[in-house]
Amino acid sequence: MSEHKTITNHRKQRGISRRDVLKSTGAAALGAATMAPKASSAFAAPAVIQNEPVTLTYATWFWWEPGRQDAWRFIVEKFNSSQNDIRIEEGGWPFNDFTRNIIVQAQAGGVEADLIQTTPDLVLRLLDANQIAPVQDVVDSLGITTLNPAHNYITIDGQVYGLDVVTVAFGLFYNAAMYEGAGISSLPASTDEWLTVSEQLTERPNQFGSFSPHVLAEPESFWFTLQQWAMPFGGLWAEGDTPLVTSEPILNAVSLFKDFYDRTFPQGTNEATANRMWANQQIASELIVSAAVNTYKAEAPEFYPNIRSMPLPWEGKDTIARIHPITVNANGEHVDEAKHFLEFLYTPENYRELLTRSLDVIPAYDVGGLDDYFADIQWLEGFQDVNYLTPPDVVGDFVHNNQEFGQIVISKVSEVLTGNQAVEDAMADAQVELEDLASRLE
Amino acid sequence: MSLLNRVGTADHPGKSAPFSKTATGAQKRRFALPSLLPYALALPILAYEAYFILYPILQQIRLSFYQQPMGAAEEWAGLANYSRMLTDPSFWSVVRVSLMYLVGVVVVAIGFALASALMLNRHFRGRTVTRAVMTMPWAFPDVPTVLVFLWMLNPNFGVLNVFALWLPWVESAPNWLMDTRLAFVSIVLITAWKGFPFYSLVILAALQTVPAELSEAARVDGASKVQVFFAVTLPGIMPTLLLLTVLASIFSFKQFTIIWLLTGGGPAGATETIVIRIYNTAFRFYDFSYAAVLGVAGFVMALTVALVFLAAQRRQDLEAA
Repeated sequence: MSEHKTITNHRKQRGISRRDVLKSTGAAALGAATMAPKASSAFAAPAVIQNEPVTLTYATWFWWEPGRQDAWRFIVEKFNSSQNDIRIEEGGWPFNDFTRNIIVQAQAGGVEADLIQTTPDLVLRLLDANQIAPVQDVVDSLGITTLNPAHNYITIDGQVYGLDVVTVAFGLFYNAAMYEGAGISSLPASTDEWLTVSEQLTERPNQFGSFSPHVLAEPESFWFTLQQWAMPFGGLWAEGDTPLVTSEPILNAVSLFKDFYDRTFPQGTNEATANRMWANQQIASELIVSAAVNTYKAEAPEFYPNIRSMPLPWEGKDTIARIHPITVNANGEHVDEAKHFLEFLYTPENYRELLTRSLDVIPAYDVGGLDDYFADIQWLEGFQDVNYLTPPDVVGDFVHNNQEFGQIVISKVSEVLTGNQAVEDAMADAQVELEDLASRLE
Repeated sequence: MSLLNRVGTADHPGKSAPFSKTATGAQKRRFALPSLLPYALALPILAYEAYFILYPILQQIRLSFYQQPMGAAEEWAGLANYSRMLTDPSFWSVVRVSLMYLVGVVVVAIGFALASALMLNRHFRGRTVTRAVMTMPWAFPDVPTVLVFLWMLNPNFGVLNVFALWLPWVESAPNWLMDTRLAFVSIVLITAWKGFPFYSLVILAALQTVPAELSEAARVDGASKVQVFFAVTLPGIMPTLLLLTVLASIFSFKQFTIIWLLTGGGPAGATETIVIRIYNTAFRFYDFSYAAVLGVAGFVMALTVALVFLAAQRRQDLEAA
């Protein structure tokens, strides 16, 4: 009776949160599921009750991503089967809603999930808001000394605050069948050659030499890819809190984008339509991140064998790589258990399995044993001998306000695309607005 | 006379029973109850609206005076957010686009609605079918409608380009949503197309209340069809038209889905209304305090538009009286 009172009082003090309801429901369901096969054992039920597992929610968009969802479900199932104390359950939203919902939760008082998947932008916002816990102890306990330096921007006082589970880097992908069909035997060695080849492959309205997102109704994709167009010229969009959009490399980048738009893009086409056209072999080349290729393997198996990546046709072979760290909710109730899952995840055997099943090609640390796997990937060539830059390298301190910075840039670039403004004028306007943004963020 | 006075008692109808010296306590309670009933019935919806509408509006107004970085305590900002808004040239551009869009949609939608209602008010074969078909744009959900339009307006394979290229002065396929002027015209026309059936049906109902005798009398007096329309029909439906203008203004002012999915506010801000700006500020840049200020500005603008039209309606009523 007194124990009952204590529990009741405790609940009254804390209030019953949605997490409690979910947890107790999950535990009850798990208990029922575990009890079922052991029905013949008279002692099964008490054992389950005594060892009630902790349920952790892992919020990510991976559960909605073709190909990657299977890899993650496999790893989570492996973890759940490997011990009886912790259970991982799926949480989160599709990618387009994910960041917004996590930030709204954080703004409203706290993120619900125990493990939070992040993007390069989101991880910084959560870090600024003290929402995520350091996970350096996971790295130390596994003896990892080769963690990708891309983690540096989320490392404070020697403590890393997230562990990358998928590094996405831009490669220049092309459809080998379309190139061969057009009699193109040697791959472009410069951006001019790439433009010429793309123009050669453009037969409007049915076939296009290249595509890059360019409609303002899809601002994230537009800005995400546009940043990469500065890489052929060694351009940086900002350095520290100084915008550099009037620098020569950026002006060259926007001019190149405009040339491609005019001569080779399916103009005004949104990303969903372009993806379909790419899979239907109506688009010959695209700057695409490595992680997206998995989608084509899962959803366009006839097309997938034609995908190749070419060596980046510019000096220096700079390309932007973005890590997507999994983080632990610092304000959650199960920080230690969440770290335990990360330890399991980052064990070389498990991490290698996750990486290969996800069809990723850039390991977060030197995990070894991937030679055979790499040898089987026909589109890997363009990712060899490249120079990776991180988001802070490319947009400086504006990485904390990347979307706002990007909105200003793409709005001005769209004026260039529509022919309303010259590149120099549009970027000069953008520079003024970006300097205003910088002064506001000080 | 109050409700209680009118109710009275069984013995003395119309007499003020609760205040009668002879009324018992039980009688007082019995006759006091009906006066509370309307409030009791209205309470759930009032409570709902207070919690889900009034409270968020008040919170938004309050937030507009604060800065609240994520995960940190809010700080009093006074009028700083308002000052930022009023000195931001892009805000005034957004206001201009919002008003142009509002006027465009109202004129086109109400104009088409009036024309189609006048047509449907006449007797002709297939009128019922025409009326049913005409309401379809209004019945379709926004998102699928926009997706269909995105395909139709695609500059490479959109069906509208086929028709556009028939025009002698059009040499190449128009880039509907990437050209600033065409994009603005496109979203105005699509929004108006989506909304006009509703306005048309309401105007049609109003037209049917205009006494036919008045029109006949005017014609007997030698008035032409145009004169009958302007002297008899239009004044007869003017209160309805004013109401619809207010509604269309508010609907178009709030419009988000169509603009966001078609153009995202682009190109070059040509279709960026205040609602799009609020969404970007709150849910892409996560600047909730500034978004709150923009929300207050939007609220004031919508209220002003509504008040102007209501004042016009009141003036018209007074003139009629």
